[in-house]
Amino acid sequence: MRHSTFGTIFRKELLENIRNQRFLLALGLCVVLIPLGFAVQYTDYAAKDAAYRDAVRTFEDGHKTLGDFVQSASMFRPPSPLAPISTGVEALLPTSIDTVGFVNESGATLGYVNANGLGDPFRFLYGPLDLATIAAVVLSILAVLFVFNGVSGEKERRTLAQVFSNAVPRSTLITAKMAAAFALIAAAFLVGLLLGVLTLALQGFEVWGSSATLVPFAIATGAVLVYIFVMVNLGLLVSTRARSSLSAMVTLVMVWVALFMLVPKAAVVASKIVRPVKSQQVVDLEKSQVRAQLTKESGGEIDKMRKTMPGIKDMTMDAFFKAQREKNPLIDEYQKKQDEIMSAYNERIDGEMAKLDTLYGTQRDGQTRLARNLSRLSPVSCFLHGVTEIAGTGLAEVGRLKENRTALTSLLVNEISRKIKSLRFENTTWGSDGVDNETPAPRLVYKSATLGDELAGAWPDMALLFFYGILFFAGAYVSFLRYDLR
Amino acid sequence: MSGKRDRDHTFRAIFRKELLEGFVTRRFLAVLVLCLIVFPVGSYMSRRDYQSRLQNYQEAQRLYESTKKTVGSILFQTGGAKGFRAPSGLSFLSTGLEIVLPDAAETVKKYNTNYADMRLTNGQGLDNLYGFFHGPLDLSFLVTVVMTFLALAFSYNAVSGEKESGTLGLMLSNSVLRSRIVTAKAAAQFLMLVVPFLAGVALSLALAPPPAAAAGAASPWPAVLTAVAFSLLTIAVFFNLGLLVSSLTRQAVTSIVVLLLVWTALFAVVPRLSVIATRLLAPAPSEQAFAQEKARIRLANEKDCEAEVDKLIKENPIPQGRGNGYLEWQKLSADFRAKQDAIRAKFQGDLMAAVDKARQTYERKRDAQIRTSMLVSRVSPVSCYVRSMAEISGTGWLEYKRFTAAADRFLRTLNDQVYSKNQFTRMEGGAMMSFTGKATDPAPRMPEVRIPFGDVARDVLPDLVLLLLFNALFFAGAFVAFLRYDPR
Repeated sequence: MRHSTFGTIFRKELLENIRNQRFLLALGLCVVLIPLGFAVQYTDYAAKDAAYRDAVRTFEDGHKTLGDFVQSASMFRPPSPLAPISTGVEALLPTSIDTVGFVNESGATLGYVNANGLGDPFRFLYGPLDLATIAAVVLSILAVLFVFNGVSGEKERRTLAQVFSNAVPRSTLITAKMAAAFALIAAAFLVGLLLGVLTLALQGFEVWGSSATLVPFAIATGAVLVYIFVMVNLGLLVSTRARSSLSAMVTLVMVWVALFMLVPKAAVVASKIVRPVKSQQVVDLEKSQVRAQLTKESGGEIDKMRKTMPGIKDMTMDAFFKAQREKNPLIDEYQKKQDEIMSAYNERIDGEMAKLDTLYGTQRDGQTRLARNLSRLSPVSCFLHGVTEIAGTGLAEVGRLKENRTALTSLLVNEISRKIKSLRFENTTWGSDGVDNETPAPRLVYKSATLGDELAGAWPDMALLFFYGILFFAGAYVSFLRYDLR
Repeated sequence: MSGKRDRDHTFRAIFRKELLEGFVTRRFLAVLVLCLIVFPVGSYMSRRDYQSRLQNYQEAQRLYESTKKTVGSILFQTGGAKGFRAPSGLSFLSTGLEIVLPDAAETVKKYNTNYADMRLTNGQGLDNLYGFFHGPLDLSFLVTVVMTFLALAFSYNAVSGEKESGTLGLMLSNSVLRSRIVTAKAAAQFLMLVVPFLAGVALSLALAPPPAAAAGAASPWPAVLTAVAFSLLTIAVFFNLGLLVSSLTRQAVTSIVVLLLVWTALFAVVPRLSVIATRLLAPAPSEQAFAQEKARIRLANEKDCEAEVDKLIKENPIPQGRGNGYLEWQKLSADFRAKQDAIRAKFQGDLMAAVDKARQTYERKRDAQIRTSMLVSRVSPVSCYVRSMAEISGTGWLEYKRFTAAADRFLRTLNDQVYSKNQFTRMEGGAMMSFTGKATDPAPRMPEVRIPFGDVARDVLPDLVLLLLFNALFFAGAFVAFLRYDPR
């Protein structure tokens, strides 16, 4: 009996929404916006990917041996192919990790470079049209439109009292209403998504080509469905609390503005106020300053040693190099002592750099964690975070950038810095080439996120999103059980 | 005469009734409280954000200037010459492109050249990832989202709501001109919306006046007042839109549903679609593609140049420096160095010409794309407002153009005064670098140039006119629709 009642109400709700053209509106929007968004984001990705490949090719053409890395070395970050799901912070992420200045005996200084540039500034002013934005804005507003008068509207029209004059359990009615609204929006979304995926396939992007793309697409689809579930239940909750459909709509609009706009933005600013952090630029300059200071000190130590070393202290530059040419053992001893000083200072430089990096990293992570946790008060933030991490364009990419930067630094220090021998006399330094210029240059490959990394970054938000859905539904359910029909 | 007095009296009576209704329903109070909280809080948060950016900018500049004091430090220390872009003090009005605009220009130079290239960097991007992800909480945002919603909430039931409650029929049963009703209603409701907005803005400005130094003009007030005027016009556009839809619908619920959809289209869909349309109408290569094009030109030029130098080395064998005394070697190699300098100068000239040509082609296409984007996006009043606010706040495209022009001038100065005096000579099995200038000379600094407010005003004038037109169009539509409205 209960099943048939549920079925009847479910069918009635479906037909009503189809008849009043809400479904047609949702379908129209999804069918136009999702494929269009996918097409544009994929075109963007294809252009970025071509630029990335071009940059790698140009770099490798000019850096064939290990010796070429002395002058410059770059590790390029490939763009995420899942940008049609969410462009996230992709535009601000560096496109490469480059050496700053020469790699020398005291190490390598690396910096992040973003070659994306500004391009068309309007895409930043108005935002992207990826799946995450379409779902967060358009689908959530559609969800509100589908259910805002689900309960209060029926009460106004007095159909609710008529329904309950029959033996219809309230729980069945609210569940059927929720299920019908969810099914219709989900259907419109899935049709749009299918067309979007077909559009991508026509452009040459095979969603089902590998698990690296298919699984994130499937998870993102699931996330959008959960998000629709959340927004439908939020709409129903407000509808069961309001006395008229008008007040339900006005309240929902205000709640939407708060959840979509105010909470996430306020979370960012609050975290900056509570946990201020220096900028990356300042930290890099501080590091340069420390490095320059210690390099200067090491030069001073070497000078002191030169001025006090018997046999060397009275030499002129010409005499010094003449002695070197004649392989005078005194020069070898001088070189050895100089290497010892340099080695001690290099260790100090490495230690200071690591200390500054760790301090900055800890502060920055603390600020980001706080902002993220505060913004999780809004299900919209949870959805956007989760989907962005799945697309590999989220904040977890910053951690991967750091890992790749560390790996490149180690490679340059071990393969180049430690092999360079320099001989300093007065204010002149001669580099003796310890680097093998015949050794082919190793390929500098950026390690991108694995599926496991993406899932690890996304699951807390996904779980929280689902929890919000259940919470709102429970709220709507309880509220409707106590709803006054008069 | 008496007719005019009657009409004025009718206008005043309806105007007063609407105001009283606003007070009785506490609508005015609710909006006033909201504005008095939201605007100062938004302004405070934006200011804090600006202050942290300003602090970082000042610290970066101080650290740089303490490290790179002389020409020698630019040439011989790690990292090139740098110029920094100050954050805009008016970013509390609109953060615009602030986070994605380059915050520094840095020279990049290879050891075997006597010129440098300028690279624009955005170091602040990584510091503001989260802020970029969720967007700012500035005046532009608050007006675009909160005030436009409130404007719709004030006007969606102005006509259809009165019809539903039956009061419209009663009112029209008296000898009251419809034009008086619609005008008085619009004036009263708009006043109730604008007063709280202005109070909120005034309070936020009183609590924290705009910083004069970073405003982009001698006084920040012309920009602030222009921004407030643009905000009022945008709120009015949405208010009139609400009035129009209300005059075209029979029920208040239908009115708000339609308005919500129109709002979504104007706020979220049209501006984004305009960007897409522009790419189809005026395609342009990306900045990254242009950078690669430059790298290819440079690489080919360097290859040809070094091949010429190789030829010269073979024809003029010079003994290596380390085998002789330093001064003796310098004397021997003078003629050889002069010949090599001539070759390098010729290739440098060719390179500059080729890069300039590629740059002009790229900039022509990019500027055409931006112009088209600007035109297409103006279909939505939101786009007109958002873009204008960014320009007024010094966080828009004009600021980018200003900074790139300043960076270009700085590069020319550096190439003239520093890098061109750095000579590189390659010999068989080795190379030598020398500097003919004075290494202890003070390092050139990038001059700070501000955009005159007149230029900004000229740039945003078309948007101002369009916002006025949108207002006129929507109000005229509402007026005509109400004249023909069936109150039954």
